[in-house]
Amino acid sequence: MRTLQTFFISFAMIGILVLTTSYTDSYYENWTYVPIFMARADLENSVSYQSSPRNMETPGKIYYKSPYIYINERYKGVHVIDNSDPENPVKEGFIVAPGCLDMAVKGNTMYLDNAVDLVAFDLTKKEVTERIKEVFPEPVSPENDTFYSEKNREYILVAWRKNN
Amino acid sequence: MKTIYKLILIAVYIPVWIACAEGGDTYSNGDSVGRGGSMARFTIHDNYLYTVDNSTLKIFDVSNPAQPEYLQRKDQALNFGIETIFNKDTLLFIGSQDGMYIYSVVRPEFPEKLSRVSHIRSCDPVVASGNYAYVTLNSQNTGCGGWSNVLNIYDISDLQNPELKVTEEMNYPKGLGIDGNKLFVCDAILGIKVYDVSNPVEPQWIDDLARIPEADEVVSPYDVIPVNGLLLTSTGEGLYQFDYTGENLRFVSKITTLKKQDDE
Repeated sequence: MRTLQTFFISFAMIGILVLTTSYTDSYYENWTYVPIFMARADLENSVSYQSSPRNMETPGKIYYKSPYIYINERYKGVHVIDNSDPENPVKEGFIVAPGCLDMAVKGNTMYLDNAVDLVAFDLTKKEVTERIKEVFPEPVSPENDTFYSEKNREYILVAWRKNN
Repeated sequence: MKTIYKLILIAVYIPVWIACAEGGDTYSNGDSVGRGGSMARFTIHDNYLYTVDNSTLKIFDVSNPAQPEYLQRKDQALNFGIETIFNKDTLLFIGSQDGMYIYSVVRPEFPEKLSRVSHIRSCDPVVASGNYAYVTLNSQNTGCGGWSNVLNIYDISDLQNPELKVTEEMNYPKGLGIDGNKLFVCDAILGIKVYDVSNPVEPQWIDDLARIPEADEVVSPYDVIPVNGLLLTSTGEGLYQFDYTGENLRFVSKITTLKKQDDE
């Protein structure tokens, strides 16, 4: 009985493996970028503040609210830069926000897209004060060439990875 | 009586003017609002956050900044391929892949379409100043499928009938910004082009990054924010700042990118 069970499980696992691989290969083969997903529950806990600054890798949009410059790190979050002395701008920290491409600030609050959700983030307390779910379409790929909109609400598209 | 009036006006205007001059921020309801670049898809006007995505203009009430409220019933359908939104006074300029829209937000919850000028399919951020709107069209962006790389200048003195006045050839333009008589355009290879637009129908190319060794590596500029003499620039190579108060751009500082090893 146990052997049979093991046999079935192994069979199923191999099957899944084969299916996933072939699906990935055939489905995304010709795509320049491959989507990366995150579970909805993880997305809702994904926005946080890191006081250790990060290196800039792929800077995107820029926003200024004296004395801070905010620069988007595409699909990852926002660099917080103290620009009190423009000759010596200081990277102060990083707002982690998967799927982020845009931001705007009013008072102490930054509005940013956390993939398909809009998040209000308190820049003083460094915490999320509001999340409005499912207001935006999935973030588009870096070269704007691929749109993805499957209404699977368990897994949310948050980024794109270059297809090698 | 008149003097009191004047005094009140001065008392009100001077702090606002100083605040604007210092930070380049605008104020609404006591909360200051920052400034985005031309590639932005979020903009805040008054107590409202406006966002554009592929095909919709959305409005969020942010009178209580910490608790934005989505006004779903105010959604406005737009043509597919919306790229950018730019706010000037009570106007919203929306750049899409097939044209430029001008909306009035005199009644902030009810944006009213004043006009739409169409052009060949391409990607286009837009900024506006005085009676002119400045748009870059970029076709190499594969999703857009157009064939044109230009800077277009529209006379918008009649908001209902913008008139195309100038078309200037570009390499591969992206974001742009304007302050007074200076227009800054991100364009591949040369980095950033500075135009004198004292006469907007005859823009004069007066400067670029060619003379600035500290910005030698800049080949993919993305967006700019000119704010009180300081040009904040986001590029594929990092964050660069230049002083534009003088005749030529002067390098101020940079934070360069560090590419991950496994990226290439």
